[in-house]
Amino acid sequence: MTNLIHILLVEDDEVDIMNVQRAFKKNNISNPLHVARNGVEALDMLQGKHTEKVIPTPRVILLDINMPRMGGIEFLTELRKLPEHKSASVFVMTTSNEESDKVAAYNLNVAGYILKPLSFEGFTSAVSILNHYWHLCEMPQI
Amino acid sequence: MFKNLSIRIKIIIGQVFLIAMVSVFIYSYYPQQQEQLAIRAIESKIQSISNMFSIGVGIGMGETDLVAVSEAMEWAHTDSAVVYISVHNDQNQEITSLNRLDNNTTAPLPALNKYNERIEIDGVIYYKSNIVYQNTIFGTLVIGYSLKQMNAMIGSLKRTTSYFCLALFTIGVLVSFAMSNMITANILKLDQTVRAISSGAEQVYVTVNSNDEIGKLGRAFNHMLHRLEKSRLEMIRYSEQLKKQNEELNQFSYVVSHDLKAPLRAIFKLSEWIEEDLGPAIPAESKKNMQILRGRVFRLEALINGLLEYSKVGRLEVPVERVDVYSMLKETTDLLNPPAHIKIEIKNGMPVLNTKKYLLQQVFINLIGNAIKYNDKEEGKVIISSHEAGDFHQFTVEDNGIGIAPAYHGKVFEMFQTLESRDKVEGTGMGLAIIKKSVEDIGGSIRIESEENQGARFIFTWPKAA
Repeated sequence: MTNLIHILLVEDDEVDIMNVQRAFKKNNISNPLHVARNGVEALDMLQGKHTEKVIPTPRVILLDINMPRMGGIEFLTELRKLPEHKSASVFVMTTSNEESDKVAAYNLNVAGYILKPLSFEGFTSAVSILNHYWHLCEMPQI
Repeated sequence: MFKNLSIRIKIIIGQVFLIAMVSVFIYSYYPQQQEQLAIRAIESKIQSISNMFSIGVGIGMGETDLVAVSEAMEWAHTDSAVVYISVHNDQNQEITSLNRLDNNTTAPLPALNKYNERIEIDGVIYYKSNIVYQNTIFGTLVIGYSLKQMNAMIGSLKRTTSYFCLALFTIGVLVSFAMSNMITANILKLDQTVRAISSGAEQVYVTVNSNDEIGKLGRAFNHMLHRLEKSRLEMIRYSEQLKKQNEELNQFSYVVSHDLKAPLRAIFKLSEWIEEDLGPAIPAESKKNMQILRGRVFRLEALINGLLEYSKVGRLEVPVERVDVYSMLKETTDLLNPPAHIKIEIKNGMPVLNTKKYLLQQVFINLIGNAIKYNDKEEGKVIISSHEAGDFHQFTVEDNGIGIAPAYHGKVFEMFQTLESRDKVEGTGMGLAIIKKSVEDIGGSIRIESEENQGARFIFTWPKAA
């Protein structure tokens, strides 16, 4: 697997974006990372509406739950309706420990629901585990 | 037995009894009285016949005046009930006689040995008397008076009276039914309405329009129903309001958990990155400050979590399940993973009950957790015991830790109260407040028995049935 898969991060908090970027750097993860600031923006980027389409299609999406305009669960609902993107692996990364969010997320077939640890170190190791995971998994070539 | 009858039946029974009494009285009294009157009339008749003869014989002054006698006989003859007359003179010779007895039987005269006394033989009254005129006895007179007519009359009177009584009784019973229906119809109406309401019907009102006590009762009842309906609607309004507020609170706690924590995390991470980016160039003082800063962030997050936990108690829908308290405590103590120098003892006699397990477990986790946390002894001890107290189980969590001075016993259950500075012992001050709320929400109570440095004993009651 020479071609690194593209990753889409859907997150509204600037520090959290930096957090992911720093964790990637720290773990020497060189997968291309695209950032959308909310669900609407992410859908636009995936479909090439009002903006350039992300090519190749991101196979992994890191998704926050609480975002302005369109939250994570709504985004997931829409995403699963798109034939081109419904097979993407979505990892929810959130501070929401609400049972209702977890149930809704797994009902939309997320690959994992991760509570953001408070410390950066915790987060870095979580990202490292994720990196190992998607390196291990074979993804379909589009 | 009488108590179980309906008012209607009671009224009917009472009235029928009264009518029956009146009927029986009339039937037994009236014909008897009439009979006595008739007998008295007969006696006076006999007396007057006797007088006639006395006058008729007496006028002759010893000699029988046959004309007077035959006149007297003729007069006596006109009454068909006079069936026998025999007149003797003082020489005991029969002067005249009349015999209209059935089959021409002779009068049983030998039986008449007494004078002026009525003797009844075979439905005929015989009366023997002296013929006296101006104190002189001129002879004897025997008169037989048939009771046949009187008996027939009395018989028919009895029959008429019995018909009358029967009619009176029948009409009385019918009237009593009608009356009791009239009286109890409204009561039954009231009863039906009350029953309909008590079985859950809504908007049902009493429709009794009479102006008597029952009508008044019905109106009072309607008034009560109006008020009840009003307060019911009010209650529905309040509960809807409460539901809305609860939803708002849920929303609020969601916002708190996410939106308040997000900047905290950012602060935490940024401080880490600043430290990381500066690398070895960072002054020791700044490094320490950064650590304190992160410590405070941790504390604020713990406080937010405590507040959320507190607001969840009572709002959270916790299922009721069968709880074996002993095995639950075993599980809980394993979960808390106490340090080696602290021994936790669970006494025998822990109950098995149906209750909200999550809440009970939270209470024990907090109490046992505190007992472990605030233990300064080399050999720490935590003892959990239970006994029954009426409708409740009383649980005691006892330790040999630092204890709490009595002055603070009221305060420890308040929110955000800690006995030590948070810098010394990290704690939110929410644990006991959450416990108290959980225990009181389910209907129990909690208190503390402790002296400083003498360990603490937390005693709480938990209802047997949820």
